[in-house]
Amino acid sequence: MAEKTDKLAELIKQFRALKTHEEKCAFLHHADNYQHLGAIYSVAHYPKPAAKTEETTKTK
Amino acid sequence: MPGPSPLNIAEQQVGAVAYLYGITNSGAQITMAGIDSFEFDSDELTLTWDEKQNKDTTGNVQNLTKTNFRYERALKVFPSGATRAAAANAAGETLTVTSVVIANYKVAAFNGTWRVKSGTKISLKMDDNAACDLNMERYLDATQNAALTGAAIVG
Repeated sequence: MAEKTDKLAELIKQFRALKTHEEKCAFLHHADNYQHLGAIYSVAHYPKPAAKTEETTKTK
Repeated sequence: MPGPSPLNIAEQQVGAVAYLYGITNSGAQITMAGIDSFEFDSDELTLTWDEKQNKDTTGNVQNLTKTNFRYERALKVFPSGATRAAAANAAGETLTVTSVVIANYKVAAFNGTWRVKSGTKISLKMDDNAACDLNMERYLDATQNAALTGAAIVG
């Protein structure tokens, strides 16, 4: 339990240090972080970033 | 800075009995994972449960079925920080939390993982500190509480 709490505290510290909303969304939804931070922070506030798709059109 | 005060000056009591005064910690600073920077105003905890009345054929209650034993809690804090901007940021952060892990209260029932209920409120006043109100609950059954305070289901 103590280990779990320490991990959570560390992740929250890292999360709070992020500057932009986009960075926070990406950090929260990272596979390694979500099980911890996803229980604390609202996914309504920090939605999962859309998967990046390769640019298919190029400007000539 | 969570806790009674950064100065942490203990009150003195004189008399035949001692009272539990203020919001006290168990020896270590009170922590709230998810809400980092605040000053306490008040914290109220209520034990509650759902109750179903079962009546006999004459209409009189002959049985009470109680379920969902839980604590409900109303926490009021003043967001704070090293600067006004940090305090404003702390106020905004209270709106983004869905559960809070609280430790080191002297009254142990206040410790644990709490689900934040609907209705988190920030009050701004022209002549007073901003205040944040959080309504929370914690189920006494550990498994049930863990299930309701886990990460949101994906997909």
